[in-house]
Amino acid sequence: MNLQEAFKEIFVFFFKQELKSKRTRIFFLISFLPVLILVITKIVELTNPHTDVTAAQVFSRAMLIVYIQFLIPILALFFGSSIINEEVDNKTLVFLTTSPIPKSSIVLGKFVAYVLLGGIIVNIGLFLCFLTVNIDQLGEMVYVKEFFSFLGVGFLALVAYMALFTLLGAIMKKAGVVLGLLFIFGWENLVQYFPGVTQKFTVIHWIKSMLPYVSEGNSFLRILMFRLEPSSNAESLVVLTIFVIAALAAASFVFKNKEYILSDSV
Amino acid sequence: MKAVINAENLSKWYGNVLGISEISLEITPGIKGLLGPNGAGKSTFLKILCGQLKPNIGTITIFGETVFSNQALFSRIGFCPEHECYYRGNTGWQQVMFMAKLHGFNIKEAAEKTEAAIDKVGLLESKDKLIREYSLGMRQRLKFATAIVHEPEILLLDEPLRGIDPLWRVKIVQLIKEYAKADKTIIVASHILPEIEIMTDDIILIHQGKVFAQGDIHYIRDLMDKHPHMISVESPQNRELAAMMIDKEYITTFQFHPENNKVTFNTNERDRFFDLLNRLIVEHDLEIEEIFSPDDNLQAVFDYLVGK
Repeated sequence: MNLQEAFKEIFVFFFKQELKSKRTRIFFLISFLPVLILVITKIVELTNPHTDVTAAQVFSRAMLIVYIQFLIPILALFFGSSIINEEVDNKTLVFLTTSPIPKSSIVLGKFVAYVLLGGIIVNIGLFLCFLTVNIDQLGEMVYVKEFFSFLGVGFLALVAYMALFTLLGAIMKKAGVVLGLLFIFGWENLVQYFPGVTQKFTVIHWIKSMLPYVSEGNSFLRILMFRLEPSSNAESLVVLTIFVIAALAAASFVFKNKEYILSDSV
Repeated sequence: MKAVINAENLSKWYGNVLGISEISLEITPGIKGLLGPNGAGKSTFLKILCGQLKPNIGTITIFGETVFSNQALFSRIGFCPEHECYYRGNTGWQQVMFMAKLHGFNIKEAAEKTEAAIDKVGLLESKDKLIREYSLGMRQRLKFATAIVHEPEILLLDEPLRGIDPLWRVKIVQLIKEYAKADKTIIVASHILPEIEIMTDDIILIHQGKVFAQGDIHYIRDLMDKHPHMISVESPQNRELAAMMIDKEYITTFQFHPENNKVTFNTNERDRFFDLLNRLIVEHDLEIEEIFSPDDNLQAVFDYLVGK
């Protein structure tokens, strides 16, 4: 079976399977928490027009940070690192690796299935957030263009992080999740604020560089842009694309050559 | 007959733990029983055969080709692992169908193959039930269906009868024998001698990672019959029983356990011992609560053979 056919079979099977999994339901719920907060803020805003904090402010100052610096990387970590590890833990790896299919099709098929699913989870949450902010002004919605740009960049962030964590999951088991968490909350959160070239060693730098530009007077995304010395959109896109391809190629290489020992092998 | 599997000086370690050591074998079509106690290295050997593990030393070839990461070869091999493994959220049909598709069959062919495999293991009626709702025996049969769905030339079965009810044991054994008649190569690993015995006479004895003996099963049977057996009899008349047996030369020792009315005999002729015991029970109308052989297992035979 060639790579393309095998990829299709793996993708379809795991997309359907993951759609009804407990993990997906949990992430759906988590991604709706920001929506809930916004709904409450919006209700307060509508019932008390003189309130200091509007839903639009919460959305622009907090929710996007929640999504881009927390929810997306965490979702990518748990889905990405499980691509190989869940097969080892459930001992189902044997079904896949004793099939006459290229091993890279297993990595790539599952990766695309999980990215798509993660994208649906995140984007539905974001869309509902956006809808909540604009619920009383549907005719003249604010930040429409920025919102759609953000959806695209958010999806790109998901792809980049998940590729990285797929590689991490192919190399190591439980330690991969710990290392991933350290990466998200340590490296990414600190190094992105370093001046000069250093910040370019984070994924978040390239993601933030692609976020829609807004003037300083506008609160939208201002916090996200803090201390950012942005690279150009084209450069960011090229770097992220190369990063994703390299991470997936490395993950496929590791998976092809590494021996995964199930607990009861003797 | 030409060997389809060639193992030369095969060794595998898990860190400091020995999996198998210096195994050299040539396996021809037919059923080969891989017999050994738990932890002997049977599963390691099968996993090397199906490309799950890489040997540290030595080579393994199937149909003249190396195995690890040789994905094209896997269309000719079916593997039924020992451990429980299934996609929890799927039905039996979905899992077997998925495997059929991964073997390159189109949807129509895959559906036909899936139906045939599931039918062979008697799961057609429960094919749409979620696997997590299956009993242990049903899950075991599903694993077997998964291994045979693409009609492989080589079938590797690790403890295939575990958890299967007696009726289906007979049917699965029959299936395995039918495969052998079709000139396929089947390796069945088990730690239970009678399980292997009903499938084949041709066995490989494996112990502590090494091939200890191979050949006809009667050789093993003879070894089992000659090795000292421990037999415990629980009876209120255990002392009378012992008194009646004490003069027999094939009873080497006996020991009383007054706390539970038990006497334990050691004999080196098990068949003669049981003939006598049965006769005495009938003739003297002895009340017997339990007859038990504490060491009547493969481990005891191996321990005896390796001189422990």
